[in-house]
Amino acid sequence: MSHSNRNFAVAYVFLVALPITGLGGILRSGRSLKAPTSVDGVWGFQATAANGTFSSCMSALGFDPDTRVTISQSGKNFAINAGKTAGSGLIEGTTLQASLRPAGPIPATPNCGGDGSVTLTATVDAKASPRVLSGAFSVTGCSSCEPVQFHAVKQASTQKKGAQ
Amino acid sequence: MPNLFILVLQIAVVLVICRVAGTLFQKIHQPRVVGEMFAGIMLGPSLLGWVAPHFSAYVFPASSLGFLNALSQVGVIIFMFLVGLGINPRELKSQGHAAVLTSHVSITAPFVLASCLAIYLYPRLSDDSVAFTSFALFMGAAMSITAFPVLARILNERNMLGSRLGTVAIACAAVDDVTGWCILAYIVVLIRSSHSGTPIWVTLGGVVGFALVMIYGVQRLLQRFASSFKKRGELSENTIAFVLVLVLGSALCTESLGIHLLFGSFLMGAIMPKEPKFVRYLLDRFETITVTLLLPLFFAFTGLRTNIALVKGREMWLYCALIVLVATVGKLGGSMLASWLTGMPAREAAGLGTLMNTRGLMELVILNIGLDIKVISPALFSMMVMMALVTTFMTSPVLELLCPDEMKRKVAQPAKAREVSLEPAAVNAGD
Repeated sequence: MSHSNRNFAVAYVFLVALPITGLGGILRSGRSLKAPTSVDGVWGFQATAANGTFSSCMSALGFDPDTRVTISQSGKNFAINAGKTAGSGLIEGTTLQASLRPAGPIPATPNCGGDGSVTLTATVDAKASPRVLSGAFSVTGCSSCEPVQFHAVKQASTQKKGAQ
Repeated sequence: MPNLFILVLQIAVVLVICRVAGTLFQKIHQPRVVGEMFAGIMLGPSLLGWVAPHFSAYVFPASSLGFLNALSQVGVIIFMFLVGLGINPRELKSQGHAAVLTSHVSITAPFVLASCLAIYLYPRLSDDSVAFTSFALFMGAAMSITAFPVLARILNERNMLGSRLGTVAIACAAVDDVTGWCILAYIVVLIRSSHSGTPIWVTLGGVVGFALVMIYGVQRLLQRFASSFKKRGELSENTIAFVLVLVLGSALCTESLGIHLLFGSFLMGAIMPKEPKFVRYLLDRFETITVTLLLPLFFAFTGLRTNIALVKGREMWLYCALIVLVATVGKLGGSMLASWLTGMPAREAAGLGTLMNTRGLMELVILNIGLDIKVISPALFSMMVMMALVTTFMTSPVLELLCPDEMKRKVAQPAKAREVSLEPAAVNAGD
């Protein structure tokens, strides 16, 4: 083997072969990592109880609890879109918290108070298949509004996803 | 049914903005494609949707984007065929050990570094529906790619295609692209097979079988086209249409095998005969519409999916900066180190590293696949798009700084120069 060939072989081992071997270790060690629970996708929401004051406030804000809601997740953060209202939220463990606002100008809601936003608080059942959300909507800052309980089921996705 | 008025309006708006941005970027010594990539981002929620939400919602309503996407995907299918067409495996052989080591290191270094970064990013920017292995491999493939067409364009504009630096860079970029797409194909198979009932070995076997048929069967048929061209100096319209049908057929095969449309069109381009005049002739036939009409639509569609507002807060910007840093250190640093170790002067090695760090359009294609199969989240997609823009944008000024004129005059050995099949005019794909 010539001098230059030997140098090439040594460089190849150190710069290519060894890093590729190391890659195996990186992939193995990464398998134990835990990523946030997935809530990404389309959810079918259904109110399980409704209160008159809340319903009127919610309608005034353009919010319908019996609707399809799209959640677009990036790690712990997610964007939520519920037709005429949209917002963003955070997931910690299995608990979600989000704030939704009307897409356009906030309508006058005299008896509702607050800033015209609706807060979503829910927990996700990660073991259920399809995943299930249960929680409540509440009009932010409205003392007379009772929260509305809801139940949501994740809709089957038409897109394929990077899986386990 | 598509709203034809909206679709035509979208195409017109995209073309105008892309042409203007491309021209402006050319004035600051950037390839036109960089301006068009920026134009795409400007048309999305990051700028137009933020500054003029009503106008944006009128021109690009969510319900119309499917048609825009379909058109842009047809463009990318043809573009990938052109990229494959421009790649000549003999280029690497002609460059010897230096290019082999440099090209392999320029893949492994960013790949391994990106996988390390994935350990940090996975719990922060992904979710538990994505396996770590898929996430890490995708990050590796996305960071190790080099934009072969943009690179060729930059070299062409600087009259460096015939220089030693230019020939090594082109050879390495070709190897990087082929390797990167093979790795990406494996990742897509890995992800998709976990959802379908088909075992992974069946899919992989099908892909290998298809590749063998293409290389040992279809390639002979293609050789006849080249022979016919040699005799007549042109191809009939029917033959051109047949080539297009073969590209689309190959794309459909790889899609139905469980990888992606783009792999088929890329493979079809890669196995085409590489006689320079034949390559030039085909490029002339397919390039104009693809590059001037369909690719800007792809940039616009990518821009519409990119929302820089998702990168909010110091923490997210830190992730973004880390991505740019790791991508640059891995690609630029890895290529530079390998070429320097094989005897290239330090300054020239840095120039090569800079060229290899160009990701451009190829990165956007890969990122869109990643977002489609949901292996990356929308925020990570936006960060990676920014990385692609930064690394592509920095190439020209850094090269200007590193490569004084005398370097450009170091013309490659005549024997080697002959091996370079890409004529200056033949590398405009992606321009």
